[in-house]
Amino acid sequence: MDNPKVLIIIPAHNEAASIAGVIGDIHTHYPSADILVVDDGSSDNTGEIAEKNGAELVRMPFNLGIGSTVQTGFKFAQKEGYDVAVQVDGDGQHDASHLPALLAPIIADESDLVMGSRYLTKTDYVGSASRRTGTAIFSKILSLMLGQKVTDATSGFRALNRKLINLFADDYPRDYPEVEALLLAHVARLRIKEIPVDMRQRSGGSSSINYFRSIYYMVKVFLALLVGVSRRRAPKIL
Amino acid sequence: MSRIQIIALAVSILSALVLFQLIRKKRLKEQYSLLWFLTDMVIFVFAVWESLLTRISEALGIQVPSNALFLLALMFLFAIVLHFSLIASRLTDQSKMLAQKLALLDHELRKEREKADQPARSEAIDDTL
Repeated sequence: MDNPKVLIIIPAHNEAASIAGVIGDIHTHYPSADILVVDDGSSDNTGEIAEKNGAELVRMPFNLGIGSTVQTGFKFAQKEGYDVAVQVDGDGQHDASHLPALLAPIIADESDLVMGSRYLTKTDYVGSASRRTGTAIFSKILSLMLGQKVTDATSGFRALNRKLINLFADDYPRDYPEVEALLLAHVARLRIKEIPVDMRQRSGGSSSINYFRSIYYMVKVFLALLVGVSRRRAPKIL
Repeated sequence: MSRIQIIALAVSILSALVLFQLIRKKRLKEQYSLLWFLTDMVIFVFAVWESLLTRISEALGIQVPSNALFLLALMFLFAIVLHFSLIASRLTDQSKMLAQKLALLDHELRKEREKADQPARSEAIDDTL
């Protein structure tokens, strides 16, 4: 791919404290990319800060949840004819210096979806015990389903090409989308790859480790995987 | 006709009227009223045909006829609630798609306005020169 049009999608909900830094880091490490902030009904001035820092801004009319917010970014990428879309979290935990490495396999057309993994090599990332356990369980299950090793199934730091932009613009899980989206990509027979990345701890704010929510998360994703496997048909748009 | 039959009959006729009135005032959509009308008709049939419940409970092997009634009522409620869950799922999907479309169109509109503003402004500057 020569001169691919790259869109960095940043889903953000009340990230006024970190959004300027995230945009600045991306400008530094990948200046050729366009940046789109999708503001998921923030009650603070995340949107204004994003626009002031040179990002495109799409504002959801009310809080829709991470899945539908990121999907809005994919729809934008599809509409505007981008070749590559990258998802970067708005809270600053994804390190923009990994962007060239994340994008390289896509641009070389060796892979359709590239994920940044915290666990591929030893990194400083610790995370909470429940988060690590959940990630480990889903990574094992997905490794079996995909027939390839997945170490960080819940990572939201990923780059994808036009095929997946089209697929996800049409169909993307509403909440806790990361794990399910991988299965969607696999069912569509697309190539998935992991590369090692560092992730920072959430600097502040709530890491929303709620007991009931984690149980809901586990059950919901299990059910989605079960249903996803039973569907196993080639999507119509490919 | 026993007293309870008359009460049941009155209730079924009254609720049919209420349903009809709700549709007339456009507070209830026809498509969502169908299951309620069906329920109402079942009550009506049971009220008129006294031995039907006994026959059903005998056929189902239920000793007390009122238990057969509870079973049927529960099944009906189950169907109605499932029906609502389906509607809620569809509405959730539709509202999500609307919100996304709105957000993207809003972005496009702001871009167009900016574009329309800029040439106007530079013309204005030209005029002053």
